[in-house]
Amino acid sequence: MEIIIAGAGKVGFNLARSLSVSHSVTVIDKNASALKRMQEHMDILPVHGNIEDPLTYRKLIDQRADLFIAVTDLDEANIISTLIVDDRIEVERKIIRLRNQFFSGSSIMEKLGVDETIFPLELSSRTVASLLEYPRANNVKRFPYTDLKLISLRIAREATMEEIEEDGIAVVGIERGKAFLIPESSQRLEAGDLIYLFGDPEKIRRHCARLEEETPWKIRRCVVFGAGDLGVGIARVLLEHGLEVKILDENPEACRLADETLEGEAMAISCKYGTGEIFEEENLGEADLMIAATDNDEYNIIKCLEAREHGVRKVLAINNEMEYYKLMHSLGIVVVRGPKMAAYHRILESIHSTRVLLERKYCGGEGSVLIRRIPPGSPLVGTRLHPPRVDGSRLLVVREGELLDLARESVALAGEDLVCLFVLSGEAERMERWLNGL
Amino acid sequence: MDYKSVVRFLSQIGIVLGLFLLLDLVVAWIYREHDAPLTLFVVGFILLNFLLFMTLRSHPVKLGIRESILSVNLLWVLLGVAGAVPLMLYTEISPASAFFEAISGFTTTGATVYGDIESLPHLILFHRSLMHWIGGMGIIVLGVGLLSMINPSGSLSLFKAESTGIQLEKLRPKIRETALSLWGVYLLLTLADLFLLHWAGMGWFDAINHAFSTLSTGGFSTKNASMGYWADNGAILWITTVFMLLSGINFLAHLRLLHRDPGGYRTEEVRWYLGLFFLLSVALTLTHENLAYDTLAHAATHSFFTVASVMTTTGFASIDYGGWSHMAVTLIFLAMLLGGNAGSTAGGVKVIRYVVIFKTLFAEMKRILHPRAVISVFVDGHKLPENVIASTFGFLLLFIFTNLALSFYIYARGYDAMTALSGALAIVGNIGPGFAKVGPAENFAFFSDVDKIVLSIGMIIGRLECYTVYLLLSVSFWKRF
Repeated sequence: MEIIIAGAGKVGFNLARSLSVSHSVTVIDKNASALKRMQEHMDILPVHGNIEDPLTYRKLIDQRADLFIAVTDLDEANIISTLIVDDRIEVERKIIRLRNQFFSGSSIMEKLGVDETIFPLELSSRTVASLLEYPRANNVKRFPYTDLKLISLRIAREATMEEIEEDGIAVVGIERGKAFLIPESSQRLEAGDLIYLFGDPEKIRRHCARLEEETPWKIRRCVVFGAGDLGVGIARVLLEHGLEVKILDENPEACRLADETLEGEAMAISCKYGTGEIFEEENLGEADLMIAATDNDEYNIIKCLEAREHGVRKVLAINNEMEYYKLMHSLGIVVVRGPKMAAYHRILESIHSTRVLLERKYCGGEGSVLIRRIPPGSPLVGTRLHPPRVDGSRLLVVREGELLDLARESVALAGEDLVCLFVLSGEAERMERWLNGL
Repeated sequence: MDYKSVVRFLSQIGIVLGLFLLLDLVVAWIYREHDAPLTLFVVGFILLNFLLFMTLRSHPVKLGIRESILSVNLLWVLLGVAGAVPLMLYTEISPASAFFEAISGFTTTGATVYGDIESLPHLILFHRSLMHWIGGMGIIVLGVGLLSMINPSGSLSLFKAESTGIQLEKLRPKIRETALSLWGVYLLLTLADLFLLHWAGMGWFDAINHAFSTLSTGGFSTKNASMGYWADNGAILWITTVFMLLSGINFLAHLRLLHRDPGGYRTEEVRWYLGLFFLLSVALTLTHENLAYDTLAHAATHSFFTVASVMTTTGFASIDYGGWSHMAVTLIFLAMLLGGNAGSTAGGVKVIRYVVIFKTLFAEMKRILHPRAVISVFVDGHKLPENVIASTFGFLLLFIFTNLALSFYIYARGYDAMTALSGALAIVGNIGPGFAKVGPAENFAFFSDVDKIVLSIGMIIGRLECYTVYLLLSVSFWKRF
């Protein structure tokens, strides 16, 4: 595919790196040094120019593109660029990222001919909200067409696969130290592993309490660090779930704004002169959950560690730097994709998903789930699938809320089945072709 | 440093090179020359590289800046050795001489150790031209174009280390496409030259060899008198002049023309390049005519040819200009110092660097006169970043120092000053012939084996534009931390 990415920031950089492996990628940005850095790391065509300037597109040799992705930091620039690119060259599909939530309900994007709009702030806050129902979980992912969820949690003792899988749950990934693997049935699970479970969330909740040491608890009190757009967005979701929320920021002005936006429901606290005393004064140690949601990853990590020192049970950091993902896990911090990472993953998923196939990433992008729905009239109904011969893959079929493992039993496909293939991301593209070609 | 990646990379390029050498065999079969030793060598060479590659094929390739630089340096040694073996198999020369000849071939220098070229077998004549042709556009460019697995990350450092010139741009997102298109243009121009030369009266074999030699701005000929063999055939000389000039222009400009965009030629570099070419050629014509009492047309043909040949660092001779007046020698020396365009197959300092250097010097003078003014250096309407200016000045210094060092070396070995000075420039600038003992009618056979190795290194330094080789000498290159 010919892909044009407008914006060479964090999202643009990571998208270009992933996409340039098998597509022709052109990146447009005003910042020459950012483009230079990109060109040294990956095989792309950098175009120096303003994405809002029609003349910029004249520099392109091919006056067409299959996909245009606008991911600059400015909503206005992203919106205008989709209009201008349409006017200048032939574009098949347009995806843009917007920060401002108020566009999400409107039909403006449709009128502008934008095929998909990504609201990363919303994505991040929704992820945080999904964690509230499963306090022990590290991460919870939902999928279309099914109520089954992908839930990750850290286990406290050794276990076997059979022990966990007996109840219609599947272990589809293990993160052990720095390694990620998709286990075979003989794999033993060790204490401290972060395991990824796919199945009915109630069953997972019931079943897995046994694997943990502490008695279950409910999240009632919550601290949010950072009163920016993201922090306020998260606080709002928490409040909607009926939680008690305190929101902190170094900037008193941001606190004032947060207080106004949240209509005084959450206590906004300015911590301009350090946070050490505030933990004592405000009894933040009593919180069940601390969410560090500033734009600064390093600051988020430090705040999480500090909160844990003060006795907060669960600490969660918003992460925008791919490199820190593993580091955060190794420090025992729950990681939620920040707006930038969320935008990156969602755009990739959207590019790789077709009308028949849906792709979702998990474990910081190391694993991929490929989902294909079998419509009732499909010629595939009645055929028997065999798992592909790929190291580290898991082929499952979801039928009426139940999981069928194709490695154990041979099953003929039926209408409304979901074929779910869990693979390592390196193999995702090949498996995507396989699943598409069925 | 990931040495396995380096070896894996070299073995892949080795396979590409081996496949090219099969062309030598085709010539041997056509002319029914004794092909057994060559077949054995070529097949053995491909097999060896293939085995190396197979042993390392599961090793993940990581070609960072250091690995790229080491790879390119080692590759040139590999090219020298691989190119030398056929020469040793078929002619009686020492290993050092064969290495010199091969390096001279691949670096498109065109300095030879053979006195009687016409007595060489066809396959050796073709082998010499083929080395030029491969070296001209660069075998890494070709390898990257053909095999995406050579450079999976698409990093530019490999290209930067091998290609000539201060800037490198892509026309399309994939480096593969640009690399292949460049070779496509190169092939197209070679074929055009080949057919035109044949049309003008050259035999097919000579035409192929000279087309290879011209487009790569190499300079090996199939005749003892070089292009002087066709001294009376104005058409052949003019065709070659034009193609030498074209080869001295950035190939991306030619490529853009194929996309119906002539903008690549409207650069300051091309303007200066053509302007200086005409200026020097006309001056040489007048000098030459004055001296030789020749017809103007004759004088112009040889003068334009000579300036094109020397300026683009090809090194063909249509006439022995070694004995011309001091004025003529000075003009030719000036042309030797210029070089072609960045991104062309020509060597030397390159016109764009002079443009940058003189503009910076003028800007510096302006700054002295207007201490408060903001004064930047612009080329083609773009402001030059400071680091480009610094690296350009750095290159010129390295180039001058290398030339001086080599001149001192040749002088110390007991040769005259003119031989030392012009010989060093002819070697480091990848031109080929100089003056005096290394003049257009002479050859490099008289140097000792040690000298030839030193000169070979000089050619590699020139071809890789100094930095790539000298980086190996820096301590920080080898440090782990």
